[in-house]
Amino acid sequence: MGGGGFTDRSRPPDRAVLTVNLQKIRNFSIIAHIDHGKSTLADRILEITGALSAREMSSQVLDSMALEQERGITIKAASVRLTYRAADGGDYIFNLIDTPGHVDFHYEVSRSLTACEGALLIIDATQGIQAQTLANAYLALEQDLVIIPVINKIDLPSADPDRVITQVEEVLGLGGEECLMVSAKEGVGVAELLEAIVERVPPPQGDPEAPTRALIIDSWFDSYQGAVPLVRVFEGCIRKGDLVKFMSTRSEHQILDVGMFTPHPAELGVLGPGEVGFLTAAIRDVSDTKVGDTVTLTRSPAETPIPGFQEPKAMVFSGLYAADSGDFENLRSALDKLQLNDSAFTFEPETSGALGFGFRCGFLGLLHMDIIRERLEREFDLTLIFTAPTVVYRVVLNDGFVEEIESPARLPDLSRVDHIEEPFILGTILVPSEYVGAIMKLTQEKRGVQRSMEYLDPQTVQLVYELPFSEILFDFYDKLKSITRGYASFDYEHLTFRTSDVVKLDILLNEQPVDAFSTIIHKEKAYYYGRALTGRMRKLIPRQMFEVIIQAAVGNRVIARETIKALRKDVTAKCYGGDITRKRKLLEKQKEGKKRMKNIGTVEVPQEAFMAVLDVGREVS
Amino acid sequence: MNKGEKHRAPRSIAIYVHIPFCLHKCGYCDFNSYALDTLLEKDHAGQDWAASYTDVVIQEIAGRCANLSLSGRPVESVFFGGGTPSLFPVEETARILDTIRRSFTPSASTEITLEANPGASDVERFAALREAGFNRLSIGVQSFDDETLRRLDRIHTGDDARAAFRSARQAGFSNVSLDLMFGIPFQSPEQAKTDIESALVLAPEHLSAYELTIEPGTHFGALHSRGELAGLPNEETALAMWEMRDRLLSEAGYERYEISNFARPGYCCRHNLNYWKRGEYLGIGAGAHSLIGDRRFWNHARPDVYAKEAKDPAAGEENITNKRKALGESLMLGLRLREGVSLREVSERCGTDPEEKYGELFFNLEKKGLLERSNGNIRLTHRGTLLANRILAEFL
Ligand SMILES: Nc1nc2c(ncn2[C@@H]2O[C@H](COP(=O)(O)OP(=O)(O)O)[C@@H](O)[C@H]2O)c(=O)[nH]1
Ligand code: SF4
Repeated sequence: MGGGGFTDRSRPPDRAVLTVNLQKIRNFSIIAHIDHGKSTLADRILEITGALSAREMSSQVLDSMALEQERGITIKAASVRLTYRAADGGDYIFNLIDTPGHVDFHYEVSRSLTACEGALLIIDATQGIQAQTLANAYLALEQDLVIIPVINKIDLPSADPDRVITQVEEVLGLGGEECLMVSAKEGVGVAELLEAIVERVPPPQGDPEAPTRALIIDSWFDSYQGAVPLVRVFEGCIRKGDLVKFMSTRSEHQILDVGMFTPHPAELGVLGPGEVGFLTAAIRDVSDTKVGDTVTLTRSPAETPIPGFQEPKAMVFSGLYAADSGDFENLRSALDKLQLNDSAFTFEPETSGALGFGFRCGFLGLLHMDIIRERLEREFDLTLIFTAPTVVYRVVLNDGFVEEIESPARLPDLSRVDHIEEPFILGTILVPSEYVGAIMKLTQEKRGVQRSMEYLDPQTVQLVYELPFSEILFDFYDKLKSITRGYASFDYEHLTFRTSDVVKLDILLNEQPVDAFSTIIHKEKAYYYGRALTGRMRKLIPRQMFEVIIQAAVGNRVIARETIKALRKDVTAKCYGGDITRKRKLLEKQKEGKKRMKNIGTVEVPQEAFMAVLDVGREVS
Repeated sequence: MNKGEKHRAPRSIAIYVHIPFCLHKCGYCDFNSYALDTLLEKDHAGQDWAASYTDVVIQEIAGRCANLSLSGRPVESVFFGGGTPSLFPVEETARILDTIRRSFTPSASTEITLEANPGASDVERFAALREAGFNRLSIGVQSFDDETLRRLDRIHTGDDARAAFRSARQAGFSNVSLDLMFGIPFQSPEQAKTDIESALVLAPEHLSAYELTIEPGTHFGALHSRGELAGLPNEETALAMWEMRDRLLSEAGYERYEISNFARPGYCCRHNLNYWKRGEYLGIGAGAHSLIGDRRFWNHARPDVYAKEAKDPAAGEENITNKRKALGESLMLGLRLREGVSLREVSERCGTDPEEKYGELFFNLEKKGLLERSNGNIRLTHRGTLLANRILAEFL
């Protein structure tokens, strides 16, 4: 366990004393494009340092949640403290700080990197640099981290390390001779990698006597210990028993325990400069332990927090309703529970004329939304209706006031509106050069404006676009994948709001507008979207005992119309003594099915129709 | 039944006997029936199969009478259905009917029906059945068009059907029903009309005319689910056939008293009326269903399993003690009838007031023109009848 040659941590003294030599600490992250081998390499490192037995190695430890394993991404950082005896005979402490591996979590990645002095940049030798390789490398460079380029999967026959070395030199401006050749899968080159960490990653610095400043790089909820932040100490110390203050929220807590995962949780008693560990303090709420916030001591507080803190900001919103309205309370408690572990996820009650009581939920991005949806359905066994996701629009009113709306239903009366602004992103696409034409076509459809185009090497092109965020909400990823046969990679960061010619499109069922179907959409796309959506709904809404008219309208102007003819015959020809039980059950089933539909006015609408909005977005945009 | 009723004169009961054998299995058929040739090939020789089935049926009657205290109950109707009961040796059929006569209390007016197929119908056989006590025949004609009959996998012709009807008359049956079917693959509206007209020429007392239903588990059902059942009429055409059927039969003096059943005045099928009024019935034979008190049970469907369990052949049962469920069933069945349902009667029988439970629904259905109300009676309108499933589901 834990401290290795430094100190016996198993029974910390009342006033724990700092014994760790700063020179022997190495704080680093592994950064990579998805699937380039980050988890595999982390496992290998844990194995070689002896932190885990072979039996424990059976599953990838850092990707602990089942969902993450399935999607192959790490959502929440899970970091470990390892001991490593180097070739020079010294015992080192490695803090391997995990980072979430997806575009939705840029901010979290940047905070994790702040806690490091170095980063292992993994590049798949068969794939070369991808969009997230670049995005992550830039983040690391911004933090002045030492980057160790690691070319992985050299065991594969299709590996082309020379090409990757050239890319590293030309694209990242790093020395080709710095690249390490590794097969994480077979363990080749990992020993050399550990030595390189010792040699190249600088030890942390920091005055143990200065006022304490520690950066929160992650936090999670534990049902016994409450909200638990993971921190990196920059100056001063945090000890068991200390009264600490979280500088952004100003909340104060008494530290019950200080520890770290090795990867088994181990008590440390004290964290000094350069050290990484978790604090337990019976904190009730994860919203008190915000990633990027600074922890200091109440007794002798630091004057300024560590720069760079941002409140988590939801970027994508969607209405969330229980398919069975009786499940409303269950849904609320499920959302409460999810939020305990995920402060980036927001929700507040909303009422829809069509769907009843539900919640307007905010997510960092689409992937984040998918994760939450799956967890709700899987862990809480709820059947849900999600309305079409929307970005935040800034509505500038005639009187100069600005309203930010997260739901099309809240769009103010247009006579009061001067103009509407929508958020734009800066998207980076890396793609083999033969697909450049297809990308240009796609981005044009998506209202993108090219900022730059650059050959990273003769086969790889980097295209940078400004795009309305709303345009990547529906099918951008799917389309990108299909038009490039999976060879394109994409990453984005948020830019600013810009004036845009958007309109609100309403769907009416038998003349009644259905709020859950309303969307805000660019004027030029409204017509096609309206046509596609009404057509799709005609197929999804079953025939009823009367005619159903579906209309799409912008303002008072109807732009598309479909009719579902009245059902005229649904009758069982025969029902005798031996048929009664069976026929009754059939009718009962029919009624059950009906219960699962939503009554909108007199029209019964199946849940799939609400999802159709999503699919149509896919077809149209 | 509640306790107070115990000392009153016992209510009458309907008795159904299932004969699960046919010459051949039809493509659309989801009845509990087995082709005789395959059965005979297996382990039955000569006529023994019929005698042994009869033995089991007789055993079951005795057992049911004893266990359910049914002995001596008045009997309003007896119905031998199938399968093809007319295929069953008359002496065995008579043996069963005699047992019923001895075990219960039929009257001179008890309706005693036997289902016949044109294939197995000659004057001698019908005369013997008449002799045995049957007073009503129901002949499964389906169509008079040979091509259509072939499509249905029926093994008789239109002429066979006419001959069977004449035999019935010659044998002295003055209450004969014909079964017709429409909406058959590739059947034109004209041909459906000709079928009805051909039936009317024979002037039966009673007519059932069903739209073909594609049932899961049948040959047609399998084709249909693979999208290979061609020639089914579209909704428009099928509706036209319903209308044509209703018009022709009503012009000819037949009253539509149930969704698919028509009769000359005084000739409604009392046995089936009992089902729709949710009266008690005892089903004997393989796969037969019974409703006694608030208990519904059904026998093992396969004749061999049924025979092995002859003492208590029930394969399953449900108790409909839930008043709401009983009410739902009463409405589901009763609203099939043209006369509809007397709310007072249903309320008394089920012990719960339909008006209280469904008053608002009745009102809404009435407003939409799907239901009519008069003098404490509700019934489906013409439009409501065609949408019966949608409406009846609401009551369950
Ligand atoms: N052949 C080979 N496959 C590897 C190597 N490293 C990782 N992989 C495989 O690449 C896939 C993605 O690896 P993973 O560690 O999950 O990637 P992550 O998404 O970056 O965490 C998995 O199927 C690994 O087994 C390697 O060195 N050689
Ligand atoms: S004759 Fe009647 S019971 Fe026999 S298989 Fe044909 S439809 Fe079914």
